[in-house]
Amino acid sequence: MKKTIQFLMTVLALTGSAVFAADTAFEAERKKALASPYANDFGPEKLTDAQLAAYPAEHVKAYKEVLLVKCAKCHSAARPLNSQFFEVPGKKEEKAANLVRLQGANKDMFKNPAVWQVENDIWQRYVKRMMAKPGCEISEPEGKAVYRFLVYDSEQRKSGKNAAVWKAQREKLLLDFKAKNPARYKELYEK
Amino acid sequence: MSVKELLLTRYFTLRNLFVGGNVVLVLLLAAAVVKDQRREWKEVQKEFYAREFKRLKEEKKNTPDAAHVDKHLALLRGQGIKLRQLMVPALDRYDRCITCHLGYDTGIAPTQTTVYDDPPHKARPSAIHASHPADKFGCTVCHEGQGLATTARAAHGPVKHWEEPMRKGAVLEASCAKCHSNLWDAAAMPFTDNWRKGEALFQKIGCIGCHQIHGQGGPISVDLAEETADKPLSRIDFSFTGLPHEDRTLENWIRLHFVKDPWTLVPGDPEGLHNDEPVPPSGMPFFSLSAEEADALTTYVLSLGGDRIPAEFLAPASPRPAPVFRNAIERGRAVYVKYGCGGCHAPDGTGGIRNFNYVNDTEPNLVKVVGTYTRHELQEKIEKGVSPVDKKDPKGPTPSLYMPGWKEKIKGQEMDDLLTYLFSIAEKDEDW
Repeated sequence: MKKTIQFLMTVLALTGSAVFAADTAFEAERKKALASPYANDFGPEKLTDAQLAAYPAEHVKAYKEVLLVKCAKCHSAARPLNSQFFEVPGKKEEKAANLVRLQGANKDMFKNPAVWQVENDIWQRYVKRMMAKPGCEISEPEGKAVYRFLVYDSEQRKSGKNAAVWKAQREKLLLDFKAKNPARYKELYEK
Repeated sequence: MSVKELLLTRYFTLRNLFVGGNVVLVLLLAAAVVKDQRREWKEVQKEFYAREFKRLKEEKKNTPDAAHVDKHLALLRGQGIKLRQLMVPALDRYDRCITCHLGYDTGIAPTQTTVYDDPPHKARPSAIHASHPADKFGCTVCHEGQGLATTARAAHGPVKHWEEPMRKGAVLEASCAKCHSNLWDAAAMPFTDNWRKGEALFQKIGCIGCHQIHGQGGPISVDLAEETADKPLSRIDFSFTGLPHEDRTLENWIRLHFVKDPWTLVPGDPEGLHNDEPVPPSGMPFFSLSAEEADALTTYVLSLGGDRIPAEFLAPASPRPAPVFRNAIERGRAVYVKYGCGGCHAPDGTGGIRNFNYVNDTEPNLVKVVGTYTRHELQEKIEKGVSPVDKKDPKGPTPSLYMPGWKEKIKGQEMDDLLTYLFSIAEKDEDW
């Protein structure tokens, strides 16, 4: 009996310290995120119902269950949603051809990396990097799901027929950010 | 007549006191003579001569060259019991070791050889002794110990107030570095295998990432050449070592860092109970090396310090051949080793070592994280470093380890090669 109580106490203490550690990790990351803002942070924090209605169910699920819940523990969902990151869609072996197609379809997308930063694996890199952050509770399946959502969402809202809307929205965010945080703007976007 | 009057007039008279005092004085003088005759080193010399006389007399019976033995006997008879001393002012060495180790006194044993197997009478010829004549180098410049002492314990140490006890076993190789800068060269220095193992281990586990050697290296911990290798014992806190007083030596202090958990060796004050601010335990990882590895690494670290030796004693240096690399990955791997990245991130980059009160507990695993950066981003990260790192417990101590900025040290071709190497070990992107 005594041993059982001791065991339970140890489990409780370990669980408590793990929760405490995770909480402090989130707090530290959140503080860092607030202290180092991006233009993205000042855009919309959610997608509209109309936008979501057109998305496949798996992406909506990743958006609602991972992006809005787990990613948002450390930074606002506005940060990835309004990001300039644009990953070339398609499977690994298709990306080179898709990039060429993209360059032909919209040259504008390759002019200003503060509006469109087009890379083959940019979302994958960032999701993996975030997953390596202290206390991150995003599992690999969740990471993959939110990554696929981010690639799909970028393709939908930042290219094709929505490219012009995105450009206008992103440029406004940058202008507003420059007015509010000129030093940070210079550090991030005028390097 | 009272007792007091009786004592003063009959027993403690001036005459009686004078006579009694003289008797005590004579007894003390006699005791001093007897004690001096029985000094440890005199007993050793008497025994040595007795053995030698006996041996030579036996030899004389069985040898046709009796004249030769007679000559040796005459040499021994002329020696007498006396302190023997090697004087090497150029090295500031005045060593009386041969007072007991008569077999190494070329005046008695020109070939530095005896037939005995027991110390201190044992003496064997060796190539190292042959190339380092005692009358030119003395003994303690290599073996350490207290050259002027006249008892075995004080001479060998450790004794109170003597910080350089004899170096024994493989650790003795540390002394070779005082004059020889080519210990890396196995052909030229066949007796310094232990040192070479130590150097290889030092590079493999990446000590230089945190420590420096004469200012070169990472800024996190002490300079091993300037501070550790010659550290005064008064500046070492032995409280948590578990060592008895007679074993509290610099050599043991260094060795313990490799076999005992540094968190228990240098526990700091994480709760700030004895200091104004909480102090983290040692940032050093627990290497848990084998006794042999610990000896090798201790030898290497000790070899970084040592006395200043006059130029005429220094052996000619030979240039270390430049390593040959087949490609940028191999060059980058050498940069990774050169700057001790493996000290925190593990020799193969699969890191990372623990960091007390660091929010992530351990340093990043490069194999996992490198691929999440672009080449440019990773270069920036290495150049800027990460300091300070976040605390797990905000009230706890600042974690000992952080990533220093390497901008001033790793640049140009070295940085390019390092990045190439790091991306070569990074987890390969699967198709998500």
